[in-house]
Amino acid sequence: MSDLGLRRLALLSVGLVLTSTVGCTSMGASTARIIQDAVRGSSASIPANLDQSPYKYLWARAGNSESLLVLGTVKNAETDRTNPAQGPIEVWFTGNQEILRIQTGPMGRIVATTGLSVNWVRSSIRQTQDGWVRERDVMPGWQYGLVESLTRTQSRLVPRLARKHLRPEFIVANRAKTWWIEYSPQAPELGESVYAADANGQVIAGYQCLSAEACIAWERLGR
Amino acid sequence: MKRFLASLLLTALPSLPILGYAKDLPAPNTGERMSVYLSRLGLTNEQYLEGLCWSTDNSRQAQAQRLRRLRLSLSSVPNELSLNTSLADKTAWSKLLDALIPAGCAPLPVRDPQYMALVPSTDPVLNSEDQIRLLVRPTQVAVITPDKNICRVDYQPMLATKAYLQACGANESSGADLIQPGSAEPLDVGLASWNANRQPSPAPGAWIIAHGAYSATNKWFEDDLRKVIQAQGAFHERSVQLPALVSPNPDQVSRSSIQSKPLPNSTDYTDLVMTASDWGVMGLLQTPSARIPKAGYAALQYSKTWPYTRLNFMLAPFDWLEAGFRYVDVANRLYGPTIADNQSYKDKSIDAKFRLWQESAYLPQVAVGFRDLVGTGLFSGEYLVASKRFGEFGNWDANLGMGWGYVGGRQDIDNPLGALYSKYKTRPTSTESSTSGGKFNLSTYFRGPAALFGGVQYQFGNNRWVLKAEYDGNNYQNEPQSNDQKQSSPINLGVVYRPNKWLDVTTGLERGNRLMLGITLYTDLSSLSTPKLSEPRPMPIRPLPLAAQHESVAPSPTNYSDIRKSLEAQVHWRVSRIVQRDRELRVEVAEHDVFDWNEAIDRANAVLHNNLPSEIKQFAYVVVVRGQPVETFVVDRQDWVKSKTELARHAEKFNQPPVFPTAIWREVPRDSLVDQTKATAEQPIVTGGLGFTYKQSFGGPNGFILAQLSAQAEGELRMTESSWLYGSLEYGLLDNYKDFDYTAPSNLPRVRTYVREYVTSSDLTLPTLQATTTGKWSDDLYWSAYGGLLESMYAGVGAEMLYRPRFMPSVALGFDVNRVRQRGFKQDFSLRAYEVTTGHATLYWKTGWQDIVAKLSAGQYLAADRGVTIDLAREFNNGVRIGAFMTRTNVSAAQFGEGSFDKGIYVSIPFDVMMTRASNNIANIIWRPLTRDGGAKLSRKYELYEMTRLGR
Repeated sequence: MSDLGLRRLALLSVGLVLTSTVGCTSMGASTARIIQDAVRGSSASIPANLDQSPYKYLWARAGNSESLLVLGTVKNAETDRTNPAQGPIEVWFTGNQEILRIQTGPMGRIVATTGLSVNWVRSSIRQTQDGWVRERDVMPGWQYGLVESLTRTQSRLVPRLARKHLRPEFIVANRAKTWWIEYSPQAPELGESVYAADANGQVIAGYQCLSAEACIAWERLGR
Repeated sequence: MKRFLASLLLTALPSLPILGYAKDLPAPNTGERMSVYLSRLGLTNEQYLEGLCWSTDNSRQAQAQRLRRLRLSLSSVPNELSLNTSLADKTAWSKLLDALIPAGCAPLPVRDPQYMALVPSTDPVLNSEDQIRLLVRPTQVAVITPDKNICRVDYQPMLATKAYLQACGANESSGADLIQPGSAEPLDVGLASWNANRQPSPAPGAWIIAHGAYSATNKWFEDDLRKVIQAQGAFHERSVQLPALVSPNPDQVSRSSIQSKPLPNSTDYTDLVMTASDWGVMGLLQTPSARIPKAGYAALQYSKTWPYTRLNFMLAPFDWLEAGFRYVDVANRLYGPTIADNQSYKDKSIDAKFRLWQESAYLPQVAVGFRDLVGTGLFSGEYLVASKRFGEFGNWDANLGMGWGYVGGRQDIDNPLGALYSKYKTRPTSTESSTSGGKFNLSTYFRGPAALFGGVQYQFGNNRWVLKAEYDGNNYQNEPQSNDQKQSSPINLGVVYRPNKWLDVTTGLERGNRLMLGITLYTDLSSLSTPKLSEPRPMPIRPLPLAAQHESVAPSPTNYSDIRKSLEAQVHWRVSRIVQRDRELRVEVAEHDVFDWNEAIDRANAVLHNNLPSEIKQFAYVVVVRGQPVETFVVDRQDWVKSKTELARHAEKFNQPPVFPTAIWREVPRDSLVDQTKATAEQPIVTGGLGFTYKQSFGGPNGFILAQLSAQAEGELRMTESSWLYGSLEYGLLDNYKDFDYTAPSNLPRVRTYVREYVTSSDLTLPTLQATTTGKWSDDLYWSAYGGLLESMYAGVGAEMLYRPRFMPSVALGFDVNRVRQRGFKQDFSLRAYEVTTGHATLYWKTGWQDIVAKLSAGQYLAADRGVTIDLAREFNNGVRIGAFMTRTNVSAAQFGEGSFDKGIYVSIPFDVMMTRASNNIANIIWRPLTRDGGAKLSRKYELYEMTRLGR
């Protein structure tokens, strides 16, 4: 993720004892240590037998850097009172002390980040009478409380942005049955975002920009 | 995103919900991590971690102490801290301080519990006495007005600090301190046209202190006040006693003006854009401004306006000095047909510009500058110039100046200095004052008729485009070399495009009839750094008690050979010996490739910590250079582990740079104890390598650039720990020396001016073959002796002594003496007849003033001339140096020849800041306008000062 100005994300293929962390709503001392162990692991390519792995991985690319992230915790929807209907938030860790928080469910997206050069401290979307509205806090610059309307367009065809930024293997595998394209006229510098939903309507991959220079493509790997 | 003040003022002031103070939240368990505690609470999106307040005994006491000091300074009873201000002011301050409800929040570098868990050095260990407060997102921002009232304003995204001040009636404030919730340092926010700077928006819960409030206070009062406010955490209703709160008074701002004028956004404010003029110094096109770039600035600029093409290299070693050199190509004049065929004329020159005073609300920034300061004086000129920003956000910058010499070539006003001294009415020509060039032409400075110049630039909000317009001080009717140019208009117009942070492209119309093109590449040398991506990942540091650590991590028995290998892998040390002395493990580092010792010792500590039993309490690293110990670093293991695995509970810790606490760097004499050697390693007898070398010279009569690329083999034979033989062999691969036939004239023994002969006589050369031995007479006194082919032009023998007192580490004194004979041009074993004794006494001094490092040498030079060399450099925190040197000897300017005396400018850049792996090498880029025979030093391969100097 060199375009984010962050240290290159190392590919993770560590054999880590993470069972107790997946699905947790809070993080105990042991979990914290396990995550430290996980993200400081050695570098390697994407594991071939992901389906057999007890761990969950996320592929991400920013600029020319590709990374594998490991799932640390999942925040249940009940703790997310501003956005209760939109599903739990997964917390993914890179090997370089960076964190992506990804909304699960039909509105799947990166909702917050930590440790990058540009971070969404928090963000949420809600539906109003006039359509979808996104609110976000962005650092650096303390741009807090930015409120933007979102246009959402559904498509069966693979959008150009998805072809350009997601893994070709993902496109070929035809896992995405529906594509969502979003745009905010109040934040034109972010361009369009693209989200791929599976047959159940769950978003499994996406491409979105945190700023004009910092854009991230991501995809859930394996099961 | 424009907002209107009306909406700020008319918004109701809701009471702020607070999730809970310590009494509401469960108390932390002693020993519990903050990350664990916060996760236990089950945070929701409504909570505002920026408003998290962690209050400890230490932080509460620190805030209480500061409040006491502030109150003492306001006391009606005179005391040593008393503020020299009016009673009304003191009363207002006292009222404000009384209104604060002390919160005693300790600094936290991050507030994300998951990130804290990932990076334990950001995660404090709590105790049950700690108080923790969480807020829901505040809806207001607090402003401390010039009247010392606390005014609260509804938060709105993206608004500038100025908008909040306006809402509180503090329209006139030219600046403010912005204390963001959860932020470590207050930001100094400029709000007037003259000091506008890039600034963030105040966040919900931010504090703003209008600078106007500080009238008649002093620096420590302001510092204490900022820290007290910082320790309040995010502003909310319970930060202050309610009666103290002042809401914005709508009467202070008329409704009509509100609606007609949008409020400023933070993005409206940007830093002043400074761009290079055609001559490389900051300015407009032909004319300079009073602006000086930030210290560390370095630029290479090409600019062309017929008939002149300029290649400028400019540096800013300080915020008050911009200096550099240039080559000017004059397209319609010849260099000299007898020596340079059809090559067009080239001129070398040096510029310097000094800031005299900084811009303030009413006064402009003023600078004095010198063009072609010590060159041939072809374009020499001086100027005094003032610059002032204007416009609401400071987007305009105007200059007005007076030029003499080439800068004031129009010569349309009498020299005002002529009224004081008549000799200033006329300007001697450069040739009258300096026949050899290269001297300071003191007798011409600020002499003769002058001209006014000036202009204005406008920077667009995104800083990508800058428009320039100027009135030129030169009419090109007094050009050197009888090269007058037609000027259709004295107004020059230009535009600068800035596509990124390292490139400016300028184009314009000058003299009303000539197009101008400029390309500037620039960087900030002071901030150069490269992530060490090629280095192995540092070993994790386990935050376990040391007793448990031994059981779970340290292998049994300890394998010291593996430790040695791990150290080599992690920090590229060649470890010669590992010794245990009681509870200390001592590692002797025989060779290293380290510039950043903090980073290297961190990595080494991690290796030792993970592999050693808990009974080892202290690590010591002895750095040995050529068999001589030069430095010992001692680390207290437990202190170090603690500093890396938890956030210190000390209230001020977060404000310190992330280096080792100085307390752990102490040398402990343990000579009475017995060493137990745990591992040793033989050093290789022979080392060597292959590579390439590149040599170049600019601006000579045989071509603008003469260059050679050679293959190089070098090797070293180690005879003892402190004696070795070094040799290098070069073979020329590519060069453009076929036309190199010019040998400069000289009135002195030709000790350096046979350059052409040395570089063209043989493709295969042996530049160095030298035997060296070193030793120490005491802890502070080093010596070396050497002999052989010492450099490409000289062979001989020599010795050096260096006194480097430990009680005064900023100073060292060296002496060297050498008997040398000139080598044959083929750089083989042949020798020429000339021989000389040369040597110097050298004082090395880190002055501590403006990061200046001085090197002063006095002695006999290669041409047997005697004199002094002064070398001054600014050393930045990353190790980069910008410096200049000059040598004056008992050789007259006429004897010295062109240039008058030896001088130059250099930049030293550690490879470490440019490479993805650690390196101890340093790249030296030296510019010397001429190579002459006077003031020439022997180029010694090994200097004891550099050998015994560790990086940063």
